[in-house]
Amino acid sequence: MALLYTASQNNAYMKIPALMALLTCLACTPRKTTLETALETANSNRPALEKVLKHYAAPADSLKYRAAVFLIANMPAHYGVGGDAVNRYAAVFDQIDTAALLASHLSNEEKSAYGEALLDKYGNPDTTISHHIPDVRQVSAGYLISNIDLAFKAWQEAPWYKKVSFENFCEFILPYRVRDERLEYWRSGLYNEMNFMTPNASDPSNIRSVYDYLNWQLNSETNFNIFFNRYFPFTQSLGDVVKGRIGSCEITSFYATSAMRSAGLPVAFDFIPHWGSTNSSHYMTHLVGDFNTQQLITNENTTKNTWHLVDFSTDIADYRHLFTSAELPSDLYIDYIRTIPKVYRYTFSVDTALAQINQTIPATYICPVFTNTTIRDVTEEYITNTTVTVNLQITAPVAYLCVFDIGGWQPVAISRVNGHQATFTKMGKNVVYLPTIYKNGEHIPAAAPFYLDSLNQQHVFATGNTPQTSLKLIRKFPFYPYTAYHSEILKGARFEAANDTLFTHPVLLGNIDYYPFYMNEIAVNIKNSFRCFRYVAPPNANFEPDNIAEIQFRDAHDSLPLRGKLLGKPGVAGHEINKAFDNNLDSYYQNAENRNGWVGIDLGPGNKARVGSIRFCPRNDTNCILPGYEYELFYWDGHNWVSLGVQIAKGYALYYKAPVNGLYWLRCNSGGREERIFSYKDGKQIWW
Amino acid sequence: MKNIKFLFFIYAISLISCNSNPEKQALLQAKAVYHISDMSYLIAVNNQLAATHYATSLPPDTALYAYIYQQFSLPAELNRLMTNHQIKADSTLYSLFPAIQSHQLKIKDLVCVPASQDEFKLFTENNIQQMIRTILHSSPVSGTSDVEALFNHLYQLDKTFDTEGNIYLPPNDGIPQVFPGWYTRNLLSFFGWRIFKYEKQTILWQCFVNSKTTVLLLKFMDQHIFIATTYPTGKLPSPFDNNTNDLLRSPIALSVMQQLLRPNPLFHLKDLLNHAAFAERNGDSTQAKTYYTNYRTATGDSILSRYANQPAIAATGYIPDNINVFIPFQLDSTTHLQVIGGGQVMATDDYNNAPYQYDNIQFFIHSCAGKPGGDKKDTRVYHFNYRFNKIGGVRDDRLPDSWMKQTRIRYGWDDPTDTTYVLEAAIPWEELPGAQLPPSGLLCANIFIGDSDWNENQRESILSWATKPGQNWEDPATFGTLSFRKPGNGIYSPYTTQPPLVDGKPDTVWQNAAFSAINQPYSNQVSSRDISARFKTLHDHHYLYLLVEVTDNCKNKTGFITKDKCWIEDASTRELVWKLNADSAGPTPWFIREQRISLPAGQYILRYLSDKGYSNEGWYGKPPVNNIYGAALYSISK
Repeated sequence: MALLYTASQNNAYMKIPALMALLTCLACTPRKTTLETALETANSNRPALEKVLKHYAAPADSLKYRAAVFLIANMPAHYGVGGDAVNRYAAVFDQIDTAALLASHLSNEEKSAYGEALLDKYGNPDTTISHHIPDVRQVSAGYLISNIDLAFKAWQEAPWYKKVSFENFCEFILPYRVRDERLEYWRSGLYNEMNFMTPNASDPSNIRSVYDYLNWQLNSETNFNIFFNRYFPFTQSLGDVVKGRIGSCEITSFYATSAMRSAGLPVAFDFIPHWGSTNSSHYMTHLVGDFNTQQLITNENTTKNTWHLVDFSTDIADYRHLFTSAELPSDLYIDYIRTIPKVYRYTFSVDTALAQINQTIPATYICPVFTNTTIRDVTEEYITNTTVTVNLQITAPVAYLCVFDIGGWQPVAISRVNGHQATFTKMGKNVVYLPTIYKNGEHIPAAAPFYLDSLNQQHVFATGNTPQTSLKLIRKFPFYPYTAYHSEILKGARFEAANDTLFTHPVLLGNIDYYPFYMNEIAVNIKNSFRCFRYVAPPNANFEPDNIAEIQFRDAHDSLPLRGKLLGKPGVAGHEINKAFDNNLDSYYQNAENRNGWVGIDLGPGNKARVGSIRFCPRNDTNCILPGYEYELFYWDGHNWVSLGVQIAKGYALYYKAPVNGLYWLRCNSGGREERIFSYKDGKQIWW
Repeated sequence: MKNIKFLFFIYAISLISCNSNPEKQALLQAKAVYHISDMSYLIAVNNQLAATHYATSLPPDTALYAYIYQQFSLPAELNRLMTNHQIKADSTLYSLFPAIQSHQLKIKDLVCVPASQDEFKLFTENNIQQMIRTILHSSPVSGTSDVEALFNHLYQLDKTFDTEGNIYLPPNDGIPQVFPGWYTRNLLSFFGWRIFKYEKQTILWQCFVNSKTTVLLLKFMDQHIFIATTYPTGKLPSPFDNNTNDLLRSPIALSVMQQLLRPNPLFHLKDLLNHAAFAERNGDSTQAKTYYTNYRTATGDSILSRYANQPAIAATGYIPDNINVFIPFQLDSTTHLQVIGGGQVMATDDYNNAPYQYDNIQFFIHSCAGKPGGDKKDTRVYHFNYRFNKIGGVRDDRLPDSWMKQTRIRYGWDDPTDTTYVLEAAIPWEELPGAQLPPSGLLCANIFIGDSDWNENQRESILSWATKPGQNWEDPATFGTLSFRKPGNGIYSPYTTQPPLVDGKPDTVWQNAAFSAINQPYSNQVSSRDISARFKTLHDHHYLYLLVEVTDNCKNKTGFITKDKCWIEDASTRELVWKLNADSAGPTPWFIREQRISLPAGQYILRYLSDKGYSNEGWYGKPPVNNIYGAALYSISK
């Protein structure tokens, strides 16, 4: 067996540690052939990579040598997305950085304005303008040495040094990149920054304490909360993030992962390719090693708060009211959770199974998500899961399980096909899946959709149009607790009438003594007429400022909402008093003083009216059925979504005839993007 | 023909060598311009010797060489021992030097010396050397005998620094840096080097000057260039002339930087200054005057240019981004100082949420005087923010703090001195509780003087006239009494037949009222140097007049936040004595302040803390039109 790399061809003794290092670390580093392949792939950059190996050839540096081998051997799988065109659009981050220093606060809208200005100049960015720059061709010796030295320094100086294995160090501290961002020198500066921050953790010697503290700080201080892809649809580099501080959880987690790695914490960058019960994906950091609780998420709709396991997996606020079924309308329930079908982890090493799929199966059958071979399925670290075997009606070398998104079914798992069967491991429960194959750029349904219950049973949805059943539809999207909580701020409120604007002698028209959801109506039995009417929020409201979406004092004679001069405590900008009387459930009034607010109308001197009823609606997501809006119901016929007709809503519910045991999708043609699929059981829409 | 070809070849080679060695050209150019008789130099690029020259006529200065040897060897040696785990970098100095009070300072702090606010006294260069020698159990090094040996030693040392696991040295490979110069952030000294940053490059430097010899060392971290040069001190200006600590005041350094860095008007200004100083030292006062005149013209006759050839009491030198500077200085007697400084400022409207966080006078008033147990919800509060064009009011508990849109309250401000300000206000009775001159002739009231210092929008302390710490600030039972009828019951507010002109400048009618001290610390302890205040009142049938005089070491104008902080502190108490303030923010983010202050005898520190935007390239907007990139103090006659 020939030694594939010698640290120094001129110094024979240097071969020995190199050989020993290679032999002793076979368990954690790729085989030598992988290293050789990488060096060959480097072409003209090969001397730079060899210089790194030579740099660590001394026996005292054997561990660093192994680290260098790990990086170089896996380097062919990595590249940066860059090029002049990308750099041109990346200028927006410099502009934001400059503007942010001059302003005490730069809002996301202001940041977006810089993006718009750049679009005006260069046009909409097209992701095809970017170049993939292979790492083996661009990584310099100095870059790699600097990265390795700083990674070791952070790791070995950390109090938890001995609790982090060399394997986890290589995978989750050592890498010079997290994904396909442009290459930069980042580790040193972040190491410096983290040195200032880590002593503030409650226990700076405890890895979990430091991780929790940094993760919180890096998330809360940066306040990344919007998508910026419209202006920069490429992977942001760390320099972009530091300057722009704008983006979604993907950007926040990428930044936090890099920062914590620079501080010697083994942190993974994990992602949910798509939620099971809501649109979009999610990214998060994860402390790797035996430092975590053994709790797993079940995907069952309970009120258990799982935010600490996966942020955004639940929207429960522990201090808010837990609604009982008796407090909710009979056809409404609250979705407390977002279900998780799969979790993957970005790694630096190559995933063997994915690599083999990509090496042995024609590319036309592999959808883009799974052409990346440096992701690893880590679902079992997060959720209870099971194995699913699916019989396919059509076949291909590999099949997929997809989850619903209004932009189309999205793949979350891949499996080789054996005959007409595909077996998917580690699948999340309580999720609706559609088996597909992928060919020529599109997913083709390969079996009926099904939902996987807690007992691992597959419940297949009917795809025919008969027999039919009656559906009463009240929403187009699940009802989440963050919407339900707004009803809390109305319970205990009252409606009053008076004959002067100071309400010197108010007369009670009605109380709200229950949790109201969406538009409500109470009858008024007071026979007198009055000049002024008002809504008075419950005293000393907690949790959120007084707010209400709509109030209508309806005339006893013609049932029309009364109109008059607006009264009350001023609202905050954008949520003024008029928002409570604009017949628009999407807008709302919010008390500028937070508590003890009131809003009303004054018919004017000499004018009086008798109120027969009062309609009111709490702040909401407007995903209920809105009168006057156009809706269209679809069902899945096995291949496509088939329309069951268009309706203009006349009230706050829609009524349809639809196939029994179908999978449905209610679309609002009048606007909005929040829609999910549902089934129908016991008079309720069941959301998926 | 053959000879011509050969000559052309030689010419071409010489051209290539000239172009490939701009540092050498810069040295030679400076040598010629400043008539330097003997200059030795060593230039290394990427750890390879690029040029050397040893002037044989330059006598060795062995004492200076020995000092330099120590200055550079010991921190590097200490680092080597730490890198090789022979000593622990995180061992605290306390274990070795019990005299050091801090348990935080570590051995590695001797290599990368932090600009510590708490332990600065320990980090004089001699102390550092002493500590390092103790740790290394070594005695002072005798030094090298000639310049070639010294330079070779420094070169080898530099090479070791660059190659032995140096995590600080940025490779020159075109891969961008997210945090350029990160390793010098907030450091006073770095491996024995002083720190200069220009644009995104870091230049380490050190200069040793005695009457005979100057040794100048430069290390361009990002370009991987090391330069050691020595020459007779002669009449050449040095970075330490006039106590400025300004590398650009070295003609040699400036020449090299002009060659290696992007051109900038700042370099030309310094060039003029260096030529002026050189001419002055050589007795050519006419030429010197011409240069100084040109310099003043080029800087727009800035006040700093008028002090160009005067020694500073203290000066920060050129301020780059992310730097933390402290310059200790001593005054043997009360001294009048001209302060000249510049920095960047940001305008903000955060005062809308919390106006009291700025320098602010709050006037609390209630109609319950003489009747105990007044309801605190009826207390009215008026906010007067220093030099601000709006006043805030809480009329009753139903309205939030807000700027008063419609009021007949009149007010004016004045600044009789740099450390005092005066508020004069006329509040109509109808806007006061009771809406009239109270029949009892009494009102209860209190005054808060809110004081922010280092952070303009962060109130650090409150002085109160009557309400004591722990008492509710709205509770009228804690207030003092204003008496409008006769002296003796509370503070007497005389009636005036002649209304004062409300402009902040007290009229003679104010002589009818006596000042009362506002000296009760309500929140945090304050010293008289920090803040003190007094007030008096008058009244007539229409208005209650209020005059408040505040002495404040740091007058912060509402809505302006300095991004770069420059201040003077008392060396023994660490108390803030003076701060560079901005009182406006225009289209350009920078501001320049000229101020005269007076300090009693004592030991002080001039501090400057810059943020990431303070550098020649990093100015957020255009840089200043003149050469004020920091701060300087000059002694003046009153």
